[in-house]
Formats: sequence, structure tokens, C-alpha cells
Amino acid sequence: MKLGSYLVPRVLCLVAALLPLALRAQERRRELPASMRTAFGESAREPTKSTVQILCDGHSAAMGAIVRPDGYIVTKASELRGKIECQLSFESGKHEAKLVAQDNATDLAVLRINKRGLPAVQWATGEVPSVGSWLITPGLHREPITVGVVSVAVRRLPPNGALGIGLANDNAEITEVREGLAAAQAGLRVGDIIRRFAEEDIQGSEHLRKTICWHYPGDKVKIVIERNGRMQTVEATLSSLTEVRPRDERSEFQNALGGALSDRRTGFPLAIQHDSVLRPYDCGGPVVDLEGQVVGLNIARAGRVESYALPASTVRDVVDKMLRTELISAPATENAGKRAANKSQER
Amino acid sequence: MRRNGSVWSSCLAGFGLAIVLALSPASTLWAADVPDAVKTGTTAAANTQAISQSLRKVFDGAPISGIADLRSMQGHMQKIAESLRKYTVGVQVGNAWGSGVIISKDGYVLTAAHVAGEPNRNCTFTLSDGREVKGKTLGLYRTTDAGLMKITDAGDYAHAELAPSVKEDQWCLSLGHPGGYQSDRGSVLRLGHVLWVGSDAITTDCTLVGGDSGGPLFDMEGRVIGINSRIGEKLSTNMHVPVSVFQHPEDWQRMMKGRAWGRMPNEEPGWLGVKRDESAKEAKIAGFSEKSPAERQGLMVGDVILELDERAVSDFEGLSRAVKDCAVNESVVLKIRRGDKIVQPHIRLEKRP
Repeated sequence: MKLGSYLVPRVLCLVAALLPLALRAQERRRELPASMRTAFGESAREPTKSTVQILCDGHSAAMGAIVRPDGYIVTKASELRGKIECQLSFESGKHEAKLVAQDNATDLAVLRINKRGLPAVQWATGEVPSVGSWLITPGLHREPITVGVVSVAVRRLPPNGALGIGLANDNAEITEVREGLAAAQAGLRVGDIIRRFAEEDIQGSEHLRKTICWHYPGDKVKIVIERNGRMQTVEATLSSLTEVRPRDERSEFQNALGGALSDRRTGFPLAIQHDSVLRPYDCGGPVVDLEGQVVGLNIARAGRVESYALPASTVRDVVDKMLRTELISAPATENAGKRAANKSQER
Repeated sequence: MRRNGSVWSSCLAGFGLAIVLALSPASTLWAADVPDAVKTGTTAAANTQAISQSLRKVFDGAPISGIADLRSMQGHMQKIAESLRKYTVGVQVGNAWGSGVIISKDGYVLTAAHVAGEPNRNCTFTLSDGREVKGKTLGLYRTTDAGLMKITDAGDYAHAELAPSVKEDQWCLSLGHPGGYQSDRGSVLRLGHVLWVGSDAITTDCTLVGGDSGGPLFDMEGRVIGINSRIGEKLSTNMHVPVSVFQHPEDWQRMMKGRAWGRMPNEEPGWLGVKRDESAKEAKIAGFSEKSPAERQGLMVGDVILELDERAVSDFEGLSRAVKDCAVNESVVLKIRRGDKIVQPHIRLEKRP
């Protein structure tokens, strides 16, 4: 029985043992008292109307937010697969949805359902909530899915590209090459010193590490290495840090204690980190502050203690960009729809 | 930014442990030279001034009456968050990363024993503004996972007070550096409740993960109530060392002297099998339990135990504590007053039948 795991990264192996009964009896995350759930539900009442549940092939896959009255919904792109349906908060029955656009940097997707007169979400225009602020994640019902507080001020998150190498402490000399990953595939060897990475001169191993993690997995990069005193250029297709992680077993193990994580959980242009416990299928919907302002959109459960929300301004900008393209390319159907709506009113 | 030794360094292996609940070490007596740092604050700190009676009740776990309570709770959290971050430090000892909390102006840092590892090791602290300062590990009490460190670079450090008490159901805030210190992130705040209070451990639903070890658990007034230690499978199994463990005067003295003692928390405590002489103030033996290793190895009724492995034992509770800090099969040296003689037998502790 595995119970109790020390919270420091280091190699240690101890024999597992039992916890006293008194502790085992307490192994639930405490539910908020009814008075609190009601109060938070009150705050999130308006945004709840704009909240959508996304089902893929009949299973809960994500949450979403209505962004236009004429059926456009934003959600988390990487959770979508198969037949997509949307469940609204104010009516029963599901609407089949079509994937309209998607943005890789933010992992946002826009869906469209065939329905009009929907309550679109009002994105907050004020400041991003500071550390210690309440954040409410509404669901389809009166009480929210979960609440938490802002853990870390808004920041950029690296996309965590990786080469799969070990480095010396000071200069960027390769001490280890992991099989099957980017560096091995590009023919890098132990002893090679990395001098340039993606057009950037490299000053030591720390600099290289920082540079690599700001590139996306799958990016093709030119690397200049020094091998036996001679410069050589190779091209590598970056792996993801999560592929490198298997050796980080304890950290992975600990982060998975308490539930599954989102598959896509790094590399967002801006994110608010909060301590709400989300399941991967709770991501993609609005995040609301205590005053009922929609301050962001949950985009990932990244760890036992890490949930990420994109700030409202980022979501609004990306959605606007995606919709501009969509609305320009489909004006005819838009007008046809309006005409049909007018006709039905005339009758 | 991760600052591990290599891109995928820090091999991490999961392991389990047990917490054994010892007799309460609670004591309000202070040795003369216990620094103010571990004495519970009596002066009103900046954080405590603005708290209304009703908010204090909410913080203690009373039901909230509506959004107004949530608003004042939020205002308070936003206000103290920055100070709490200042008290919280990243700690690097060898290639292990953990956290700690500064509790005195001159830089004493409470942490977890398993972060420090051994006494008198060099370590590096990273302050909330990114500045690195040098330090040393001091004592560690392994049974409870309590550890002490000291910043050795001279300075005037922002520091937290210790809380006078901790109660079940009260709200709490935890900070630390999950995954190790990251310059573009800093420490991470979490809110939760105290679920259970024991003499050697507190559990909360402030979710912790690797790297949080040694970081502080604060009450809502920003005073330290515990030190992050370990987690279990459930989100509600987050365990902390209560500050009362550090506040025990004898243990604090030992930690200041850089002593390491106690068994690993997953080891079963040893057993001596002696019965208390209720009429004596000292740790005097009135008899033996069945199968007592003490009796078999030559201890006698009337013996007064003065020391266990050079650790002074003033009464029977002290003896119980000292024995429980040793593992099964561990051999200890007792200092015993027998009549008018002092004897020092080696006794091998056994498993309680």
C-alpha cells in the first residue's frame, strides 16, 4: 500500500507501511459547506448561463463558453474527438457541434451549434485577479464545479520542447543522449558541445535549457555543435519534455496522486495558476471571480496543485481572430440564417 | 524555469511511510536561551491588526453568512499573500530541492528533516526576490520530519511568527516551491482546511507535491502552524509537521546544536517494556510488562532512568518520547541510578508484542 510520499525530489527508497486508521478515515478532500457553495453559485449565476458541457462520442470531454448568440462556443481543443455535442445549462437535449477553428498556441477551439439567441459570455476587461483571489469554475447547475484561489500571478508558460540530453553543469556539453528522442534522432553524441540552437548563440548549459524549453515539441531547429574541435550543423525535431520525463517517476507519481491530468498542459502564452481541483474534462469553460466577472477560461489541469486558466483578454483576442476568419469565409450562410430567422418571425 | 542538474535530472522514486502518534510533547516551559523566534508571537503582527471578530470566526471554520464574508476573506488573502511569499524560501541541499520558512530576523529557517538530510551541510536559499543566500543545515528530528537551517549570510530577513495553536476545521494557507524553485514562478499559494491535528502531524486539504517539502503552512493571520512534509494518494492527505514539535524546549535545543535523532517515520518504534512508578517524579521503574526486553537484559525494579543515548530523561513521559524515537532492534545506552550507584547498560529495544 503506497501512502505518504515525501515532497522533495531525490532518490530515496523506503519500505511502504500503513497509515494509522485515524488518518485513513480523513482521506476525502473536504466538501465546502452548503452556505459557501450557495454563495459562490450566486456569484457565478450569469456566467453559468453561458457555460456549456462538451461531449465527445457521448462522453464528457470538456466545458465551454458561448461566445456569440448565434451558436459559437469556445472550448479546449485538444480534448475534442469524434462526434461533438454540446449540452447547454438552461435546457435539456444536446446540440451537435461542428469544429470551426482552432489555435495551437492557446489550445482553444471554436465550435458552432445550430441555435440562436444564446447568452454570450461577457469577458472581464479589468485587471487579472491577483494571488489570493477566489476563482469559481461554474458548471451547468446552480452550484459550481469547484472553487479555488489564485496561486501564482499571471505568467507565460514554456511549451517545453526537449532534446533528450543530459548536460554538464557549466558549458553546454552533452553528457548523456536519451534513446529515441530528438537528440538521438539528429545524431548528437556524448561529448558534443552545443554552440548555437535555433539561430541563438548558446552561453552555457543553463542558457541552453532555457532556450530549448521555449520551443514547441515538433519544431524543427538547426543546432551548431562542436565535435572534436570542428563545427557541425545538424537539424533536430524537438521532443516534448513529457517524453523525457519517465525518469522523473516520483514527480509524475506524486502529481498524478489525486486524479488524471490534461494531456496538453504546457506552453500557454499567458496563464493564471490556481489551486482548484479540476478533472481534465472540467477544463475549457469560464472561470469567474467573486463579483461574477468572467476573468478567464480553464485550460489545463497540469499537476496535483496546478490548474491553469487563460486570462479573459487572451481568450477574447484569440476567439476574435478565429471568428474573423470564420465569419469572412462563411458570410452567405450567415445571411441565409438571418433571413430564415426573419421569415419565421413574419409568419 | 527548472534548475535541475540535467534536463531530466532528479530521479524520483515514490515511497511510503507511516506516521506514528507519540505522546503529546506539548510544553509551555521555555529554557532561558530559547530564541524569541520559536516562542509564539504575543505582539500583534501587521497581518493580524485588521481582522474583525466575524472574520476571525470564519477563519476558525464557522459557516460563512454570504458573499460579504467571502469578500472580506479574499481581501485579507490578497493583502497578506505578498508577505507570505517573502517568508517562504527555496532550499537546495546537494541536488535536492525543497522549501523552507524564515522565522527570525537573523535567518533561522524551519524546514523538513528529509530536505536537510544531515546536519552541518552547506545549503543555498533562494529568497522571494530571486536573491540567493548561503546557509547551513542544523538539527533534524527524523521521527517527526522536523528540520532546522540557518542563513549564514548576514542580513535582516523578513520572517514569520509561529502560531500559538492549531485547531481542526480552521482555514489555512500553504506555500512552497512545487518541482523546485522556478525563477519565473516563485512560490505557489494554496488554500485549505486543517482536517486533523495530531501531536506529530497535521493533515490538510492544501494540495502539496514534490518540492513543497519544508515549506510553511500558515494560519489565516500569516503565522506558521506547520511545515509541509508528505502526501498520500488522496487530495486530502497532505501532511505537515506541527510547529509545536519545534517548540518543545529540549528538542529545540538539540536542533540548535545540530543534532540529528529519531527513527525514519516508516520504521516501527522500539519498546522497552517497563512500567511507571506513579509515585515518582522521575522515570522510575515499578515493574515490567510481559516479555519485557528491559527485564531480560538486566534492568531492575527501582531503577531510575536518567538518560537514553545521552539524551536527558527527566520523567516517564520523557522516557516514552526517547524510546519512541528509536527503532525496533536499535541498541541504546541507558544511564541509570540504581541505589547509590550509576550504571550504563546497553539495551536492545524490541518490537512491542
